[in-house]
Amino acid sequence: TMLSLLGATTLMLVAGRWVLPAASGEANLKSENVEIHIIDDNFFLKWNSSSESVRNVTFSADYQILGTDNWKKLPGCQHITSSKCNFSSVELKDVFEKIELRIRAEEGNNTSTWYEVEPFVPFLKAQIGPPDVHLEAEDKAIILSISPPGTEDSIMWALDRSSFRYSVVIWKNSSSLEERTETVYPEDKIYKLSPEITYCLKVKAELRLQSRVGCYSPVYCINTTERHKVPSPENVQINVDNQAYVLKWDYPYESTTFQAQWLRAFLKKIPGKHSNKWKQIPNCENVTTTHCVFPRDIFSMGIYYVRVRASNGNGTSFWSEEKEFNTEVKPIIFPPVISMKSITDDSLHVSVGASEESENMSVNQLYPLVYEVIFWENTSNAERKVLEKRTDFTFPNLKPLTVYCVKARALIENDRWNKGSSYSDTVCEKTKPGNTSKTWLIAGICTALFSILVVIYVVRVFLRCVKYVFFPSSKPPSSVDQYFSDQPLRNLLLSTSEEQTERCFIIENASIITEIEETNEVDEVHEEYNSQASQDSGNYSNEDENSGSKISEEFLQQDSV
Amino acid sequence: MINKAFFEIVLVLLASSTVCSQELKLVLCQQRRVNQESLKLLNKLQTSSIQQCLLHRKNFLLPQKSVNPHQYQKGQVLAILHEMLQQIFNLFRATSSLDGWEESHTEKFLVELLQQLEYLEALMRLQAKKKSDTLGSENLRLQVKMYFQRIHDYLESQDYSSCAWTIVKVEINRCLFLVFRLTRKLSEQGMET
Repeated sequence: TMLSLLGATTLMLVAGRWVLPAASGEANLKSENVEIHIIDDNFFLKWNSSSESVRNVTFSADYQILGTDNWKKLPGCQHITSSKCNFSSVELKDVFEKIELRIRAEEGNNTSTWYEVEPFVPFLKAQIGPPDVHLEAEDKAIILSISPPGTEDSIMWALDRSSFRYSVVIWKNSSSLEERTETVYPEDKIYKLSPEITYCLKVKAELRLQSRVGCYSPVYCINTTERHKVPSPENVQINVDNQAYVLKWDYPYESTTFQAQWLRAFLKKIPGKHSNKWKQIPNCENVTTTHCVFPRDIFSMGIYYVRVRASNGNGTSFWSEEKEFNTEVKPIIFPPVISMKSITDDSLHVSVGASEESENMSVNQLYPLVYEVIFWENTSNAERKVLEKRTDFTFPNLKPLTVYCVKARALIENDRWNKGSSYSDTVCEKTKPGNTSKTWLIAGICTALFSILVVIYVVRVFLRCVKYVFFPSSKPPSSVDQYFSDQPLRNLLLSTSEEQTERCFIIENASIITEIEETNEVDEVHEEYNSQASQDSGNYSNEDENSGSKISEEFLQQDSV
Repeated sequence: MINKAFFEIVLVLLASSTVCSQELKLVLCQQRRVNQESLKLLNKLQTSSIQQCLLHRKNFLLPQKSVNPHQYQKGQVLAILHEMLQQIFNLFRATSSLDGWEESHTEKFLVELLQQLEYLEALMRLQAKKKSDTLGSENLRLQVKMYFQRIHDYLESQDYSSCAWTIVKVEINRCLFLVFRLTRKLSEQGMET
C-alpha cells in the first residue's frame, strides 16, 4: 500500500508537471492569434505562440467540412514546431463549401484541448494573387498577354478565369511621375506610346463586379522599337450609311494599300491567343482609299472589333488601334427635352431638343433621329400622335384659354425595330384668350354691372314699402291740413302725447253747464268725442276736458300759466 | 416526353415578338434571344442520342427556391443573373473547341449570351453608382457557383462524353428558363423604380 501510494503520488506529480505545460500551451492559442491566409491556391495557417520552442511543443491541425462529423488531418500542418504551416496540398473538392479548422498544441504524448477556428468559405477568404504577364513591343504600342492568377488547373478561380479584368499601371522608366492606368483584357494592347523608350508596368487582376481586387504583379520593363517606316492608320471610325457600313481612317501618305480585319469581341474576354481568329472584311482588302464600304448583312448582330493596316513599297505597318463597334440596331437613346409656348390664342409652339447625356454619345451621330410627339387636351383623354423630323413645330387650330399637354420620345428613322427612348417629361401650357372671348368677357362684365344696379334699385323700392307699412311718418296727409288750419284743433287731432291737464272748477249753477254743453256741439267730430266721453268718462277724461275747453277756454287761458 | 415539352416551349419562344423599347425591356428581349439560341442548339441533337443518354441523368440541384425573385432587390437580382450567364459562357466556350461542326451554332449562342452580359454589366455599373446593395450578393453568387461546380464535376467524372454534354445542355436550358423568369421580374420591378 505504501508503494502504491508512492506510485500514485509520483504519477500524479509527473502528470501534474505534464499537464502544466499543456495548459500554458493552450493559453497561447488565443482567438486573435490564429489566422488563415489564402492566396490563389496556397493555404497558410498562422498562429501566435508566446512560448518559444524551448520546450518541445508542436502543433497539429485538423479540418472538416462544416456539417459533417469527420475530422481529417490537415496535410502539411502536423507536428509543426514553428508558428505557421502551409496546407496547400489539401485537396478540397469544393472551394465554395464552408470548412472548419481546429488546432492544438502537443508535447510528447500530451495534448491541449482543440481550439476551433471560426468556419469560413475558402473562395470568399482567398486573396487574388498576381497575374502572369508576357510583353511584346511595337513602335507605339505594347502587346500584353496576361494569364489569370493561379495556375491553369487552379481550383480557386476555375469558374472565374474568364471574368478577370486587368488593371495596368504604366510609366516611363526615366520619370515615374508620368503614370497611366488602363483596364485591359487578357489579350490587349496599350497604345499612344513613344518609340524607343523604356516603359515599365505592373498588372493586377480584378473581379470588379464582385468587388475583389488582387495584388500587383512584379514590375516588368520593355523597350519600344524604333519608329516603323510605314506608319499605322489612325482614327479608325465606323459609321452606318443607308444599310451599309462605312469604315474610314486617316493616313498621311498617298499610294498605299490598306487591309481591314474584324474579330468577335467575346473572344477578347477569353484568355489565350486569338491572333488567328481575326477575319478579313470583304470589300476592304487591298483598297487604296482611306475608306471602304461593306454591306450591313455581313455582320450578324453582335459586338466586334475592327483593325486596319497599311502597306506600301517599304513594308507593312503594325495594326492600327482596334476599334470596337456594336451592330446592335438599338443603341440606347435618351429621352428628349421638350418645351412649349403659347404664341397666339389658337396655337402652341413646341421645341424638342437632345438631353445633356445624349450630347456626349456618338450614337446620335450614327443614326438620324425622328420624334414621336403625343399631344392632348388636359381634360380629355383623346391623344394625337405625330411623327416629327423637325425640332421646332406648331400645333394650330386650338381652342383659346385651354390647357394642352405634350410629351415626346426619340426614335431612329426608318428603323422597323423601332427601339426609341422613353418618353420625355410631360409639359402643359394654356393657350392665350381669344378676341371673341374678349368681347364675351366685356359683355359679361357689363351685364353684371347692370344687374347690380337693377338689384340696388329694387332693393331701395322694397325698403321704401317696408318703411311705409311698418314705420309710418307722423306727418299728416295734405288733405288734413286743408281742413284744420286752426292751430288748437290741429293740436287736438295730432298731439296725443301731450296730456292737457285742466283745473276743475265746481260750478254750482247747473244751467250754465248745459249751456256750455250745447254750445260745444260744433262738429261731428266734436260729437264723437262727446259720445265717447259720456261712455268712457274715466278713460277719455282728456277728451272730456277738451270738449269743454272751447267754452271754458277763456277761463282756462286765463287760469293756466 | 422531353421532345414534346421542347416543341411547345420552342413554339412559345419563337412566336413571341422581339420588338423592344426601353433599357430593361432590352435586357428581357436579349434574354429571349439567348434562350432561343440555346433551344436551337438543343434541337440539333438527335432523338436517339437523347434517349440513350437518359440513363446518365443527374440532379444538379438548380437553386430555384433560393433565388426567388420576390425576395431580392434589383442589385442582388442583377448579381445572380450576371453570375449565371457568366458561368454558362464559361461552360460553353470550352465546347466550341470540342465539336467542330457545332462551332458556328455555339458561336451564335455565345454571341447573344455575350451581348446580354454586356447589357447586364452596364446595368450593374449604373446600379453601383446608385446604391451599394452588393451585401448579400456574395452568398447568392456563391450558390450559383456551387451549382455550376456540380455541373463541372459531373462532366469531369463522365470524361466529357457526348452524353454528359447532352445532359448538361438540357440542364442549361432549365437554368435559362429560370434566368428568363428573373429577368422578366427585374424588368417589371425596374419600371417601378
